Amino acid sequence: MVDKLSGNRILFVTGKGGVGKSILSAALGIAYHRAGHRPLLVEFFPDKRIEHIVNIKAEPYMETEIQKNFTYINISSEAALAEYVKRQLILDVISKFVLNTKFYRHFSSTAPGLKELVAVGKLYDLEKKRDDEGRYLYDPIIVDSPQLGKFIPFVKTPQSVMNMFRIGPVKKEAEKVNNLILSDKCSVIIISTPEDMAITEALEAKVELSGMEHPAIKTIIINMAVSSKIDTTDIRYYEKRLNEVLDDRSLFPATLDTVQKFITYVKMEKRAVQELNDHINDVPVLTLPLIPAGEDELSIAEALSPHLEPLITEAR
Amino acid sequence: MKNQPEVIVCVGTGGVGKTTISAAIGMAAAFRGKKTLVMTIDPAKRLAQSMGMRELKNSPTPVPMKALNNCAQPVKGSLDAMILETRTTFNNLIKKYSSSPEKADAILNNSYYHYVSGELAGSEDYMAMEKLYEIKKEYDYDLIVVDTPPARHAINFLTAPNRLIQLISSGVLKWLIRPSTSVSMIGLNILNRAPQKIVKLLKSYVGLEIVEDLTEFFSEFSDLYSGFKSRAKEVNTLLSSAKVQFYMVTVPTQDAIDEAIYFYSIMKGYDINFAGFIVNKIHIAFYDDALRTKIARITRALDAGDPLRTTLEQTLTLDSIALRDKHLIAHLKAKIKSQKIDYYLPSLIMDRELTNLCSLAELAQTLDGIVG
Repeated sequence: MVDKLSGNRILFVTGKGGVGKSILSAALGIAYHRAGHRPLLVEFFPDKRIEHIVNIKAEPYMETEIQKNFTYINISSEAALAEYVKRQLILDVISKFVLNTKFYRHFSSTAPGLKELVAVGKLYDLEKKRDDEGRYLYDPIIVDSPQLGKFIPFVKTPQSVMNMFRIGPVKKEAEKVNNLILSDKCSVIIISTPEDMAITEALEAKVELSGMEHPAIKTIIINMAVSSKIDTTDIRYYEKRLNEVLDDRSLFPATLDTVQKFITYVKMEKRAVQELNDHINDVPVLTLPLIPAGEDELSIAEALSPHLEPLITEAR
Repeated sequence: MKNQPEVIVCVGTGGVGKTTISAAIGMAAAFRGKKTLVMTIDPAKRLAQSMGMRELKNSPTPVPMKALNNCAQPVKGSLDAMILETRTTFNNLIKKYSSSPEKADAILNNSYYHYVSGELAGSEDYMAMEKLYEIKKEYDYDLIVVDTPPARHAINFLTAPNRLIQLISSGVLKWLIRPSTSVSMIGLNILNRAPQKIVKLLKSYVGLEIVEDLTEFFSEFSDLYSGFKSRAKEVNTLLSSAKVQFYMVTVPTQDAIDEAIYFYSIMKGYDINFAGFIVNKIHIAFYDDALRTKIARITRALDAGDPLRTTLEQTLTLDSIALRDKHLIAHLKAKIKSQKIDYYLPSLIMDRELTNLCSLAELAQTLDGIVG
């Protein structure tokens, strides 16, 4: 079956630490919701960044409505593992017995990648959910994922589990999840800031993520950019214009000095962005503005969401 | 004057510029005439290149300071750098504490060991401290600066090593290795049957081989316990000594500052010398209050689409963020009232880029107080 909206069922949002992943995940959710989709925002316990940003109180591991048709879930690996064990040991009595043993507690913290696997595996169940009319209950599923450096081990969790558990039901579970992650239902959004180091990391991640054993990259977002709207970096132009518009001459030196510093900043930023564009021709790059301070994080997410419209497909 | 540190440990969440700050502290110490080492984990490519860390891993390499000839004061001391490799460090420990090369090989080839030494959360943190201990013993550096692994929560660094030790020495071992032996001799065989059943159950629901790998790993590892345990104790003693100072690197964003306050509250329960916060990536403030108001008015009067208007608007946006930075730092200081805590606010040209050793030297100057 060919899905013309491929890559848009599950969106993994990642990027170097501190680039604004969580706010952007929330902003994406807002943008999709506004376009008539029914997005689900996912984060992994013990993080509660998104919960904080969208300002709700959610029960752990419970799908919680932010607004009608806009849902949030905080996936804890403990809860996911307990769910998995229950499902495997059909008889509830046995599972209760097992879950309460010391052995289980030790094993669950020792078993390689099992907890991580079932946490990622929860996405499989969420993706399967349909409403009464057979439509996707959640679309898309936006996953605030681990930062770059930890992201590749994260998407490769099922594969490393498959290497450890060479046979048996856990291997089957891992295969199932792996097939979903590598299918064209999933894609990755890499967030960067217009800084040299963040962009270098994004480029490195792009190289690492290309290849068959990873989901495809949907887009690279440059967040908090100030330079995109600035056409001229010629300080003489500003000198001339400030001469014209500043009635109060005493303001001139300080203002020109500011503009000069700002232009230095802009040039550095443009260079970093150019570096990205020089190396990327097969993935769209989207630039988002720096939002002025004074707002809470939800307002920042809301202010960013219209800029994400190029990514939003028609609601289905 | 405060104690001269012999070790400085930089903790903090990912993305705050910990590696850069660690390198800059190292350089500040080298300027002061100290024989210095920076131990880092996964540095950004460009930083690694400029510090000459491309090839040699897991052992100290001199940083090519000649690059500083035209941009900084003379370097009176020296600066070495190394990239920590978790797995190599772990492998060496196994070899060291195994009773025979065959036993070591059995562990090194076990598939569960590969997971523990590479992917298990906490391994990196533990091995960083292990390596620090080893280097401290074998070399005579005046100062070693340690960059810790990136984590979602800075406190992981203090809790993770213990988690690893607990895992290695946990009861799993007893349950797995001896499901059917000796205990029955003292009449506990009935009780002992329950775990056996669970092991059997687990074997069927997780797959037999992994349980066997685990069993093998833990039984081989039992051999190394005493070595590991006493070593861990020595490492802990070093970390709580007065010669070791901890700094937290953070940035002026709401969640990073919240994290810093949280870290401080937890950290007090640990036996470490916490020396201060380094608030990195502060935005530059362009205007004072009077000028800001006037420029805002002038900006609004310009036509939309006027390049000057766009530029001035962006300076005001950046300026608003600089103001927020200030408030967040004030908030941090108000929450943590302690005479013993220092604050450093390093800043680079526009706080954005670090491209070579010269900008690192510039950053080092703002951190001089830490090593002086």
